[in-house]
Amino acid sequence: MTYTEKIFSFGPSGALQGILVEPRGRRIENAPAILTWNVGLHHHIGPHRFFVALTRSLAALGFTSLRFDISGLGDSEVSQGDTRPDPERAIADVREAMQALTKQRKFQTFVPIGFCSSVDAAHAVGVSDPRVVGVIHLEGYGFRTKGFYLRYPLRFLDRNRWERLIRMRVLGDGEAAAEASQDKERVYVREYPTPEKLQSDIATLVARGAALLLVYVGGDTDYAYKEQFFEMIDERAGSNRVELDFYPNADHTFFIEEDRRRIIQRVGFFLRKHFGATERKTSTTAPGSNRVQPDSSPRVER
Amino acid sequence: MKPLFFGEAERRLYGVYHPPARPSRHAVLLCYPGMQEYNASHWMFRRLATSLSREGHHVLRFDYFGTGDSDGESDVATPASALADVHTAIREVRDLSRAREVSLVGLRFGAACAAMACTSGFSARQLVLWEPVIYGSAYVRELEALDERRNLVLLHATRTRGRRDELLGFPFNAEVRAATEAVDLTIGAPIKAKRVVVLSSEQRSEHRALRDWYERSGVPTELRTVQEPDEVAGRRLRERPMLSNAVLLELAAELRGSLVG
Repeated sequence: MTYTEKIFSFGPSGALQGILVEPRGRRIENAPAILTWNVGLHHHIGPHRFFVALTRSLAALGFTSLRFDISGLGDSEVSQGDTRPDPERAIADVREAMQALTKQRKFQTFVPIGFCSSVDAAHAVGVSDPRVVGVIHLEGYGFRTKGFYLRYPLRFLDRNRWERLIRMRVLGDGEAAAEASQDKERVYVREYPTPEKLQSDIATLVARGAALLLVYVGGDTDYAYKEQFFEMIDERAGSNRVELDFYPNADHTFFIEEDRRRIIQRVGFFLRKHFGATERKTSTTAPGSNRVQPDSSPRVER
Repeated sequence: MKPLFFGEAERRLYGVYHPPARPSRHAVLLCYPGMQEYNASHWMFRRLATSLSREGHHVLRFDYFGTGDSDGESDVATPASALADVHTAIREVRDLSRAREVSLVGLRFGAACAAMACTSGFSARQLVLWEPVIYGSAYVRELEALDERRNLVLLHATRTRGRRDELLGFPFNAEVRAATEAVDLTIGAPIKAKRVVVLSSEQRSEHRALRDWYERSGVPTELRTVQEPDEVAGRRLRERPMLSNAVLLELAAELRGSLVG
């Protein structure tokens, strides 16, 4: 095995539980620690065990990860007397994880990975905390744009859509219709930042030298083409600190294993590109000195 | 609540031990359903474990090899490996608790694994089968129908048509399929338990077949139907156990008897 996994209890009275995944052999010196936590109400392993596969794969590349449950979900408990609203508590729990990793493992920098609803805490912590040197959003914020509407008719070239429509409407497949409707109900309702706020947040992150990977999928989402994000935040030129990826055939939770493998590979490539340059046999660098500067050109190791 | 890894060094299993609220000589091992239904049932298992530990039982819930936080990739989990893991977890909960007797509670495919543990060397104080998978072939057909519909809804129909190597978002190779389809709780070695309870939202012919088979082994077996509120009863069979408070109360009441036995 290329990784070791340990129980990692932290937070007030050790109420927060997670699994610390560390490389067994080669590790990247001063690399940031990677953080993953619950998607919606899912346990911390993620949909289809996505975070287990991801964190183990990152350990093989030399990165340490913590996959954990935020208060009240999975195996973590809510501390007695904690009455904060869930979104506020989630942000505090991510900070607790960072603090515990600093205290117990000397990590100074972090990359939170938000997936669907967990993007909210990843984004909030990323924007406000200078220890965050990279942020990854999987299926994060998406707003319909002019480009989205212009491409909308292209959806009707997809044979899958017609097949679904015929099964549900013409053949009266009530189960499929019910499932499609339940999918809509299940979406975790949350407040998105406005496009202006998102633009300002991204500018803050980029100015700080943080690297961003934003992954979107097609299907029934509000995203239709790779560069839609730049149109969303009215940033035509884009930025070399912001990497976008669009998987038109994948769905919101990466139901197909091949899609999960591609995303995991992509995340690994992104992390190696931005944070893998400090791999050394012996470390003479102070903790945290791998912070990526805006003008730096990190060496990409393949 | 104490999370832990246990088992062999290269094949560690993740579990969460819930110590009893008061000294006890009885332990309960909770067996999760198959990986396709794990996420949906995790919260219910945590609630059940907490509730049973408050009642005075030692409780261990654990992930089979290749599932949850346990070692192994998702394509290595088989019915045989899950059965071996149940035996490993029984040893672990005995070590943790020093309990004299252990009862097993399993949901769906976890119920099948718990039942198979009681026909392969283990004798349970109580065996509680919650919406059990009795015939593996019917279970695979049910999941395949759901998988086909899920792929239709997610616009993967053309991409996945004719493929049988994944099931509801997880790898499902030919070997695992054949082994799962071969599961039949109504044949094989006699069951060893002081008592078996089958909990379900509706009584079906396979439940009666299972009761008859177990009673031929001389084990008292009770079929119990749990009345669900309409909003739960209206859901699909595989979703009902994850939503039901009635089942939690029923399970706690059923296992209370083991504390005084």
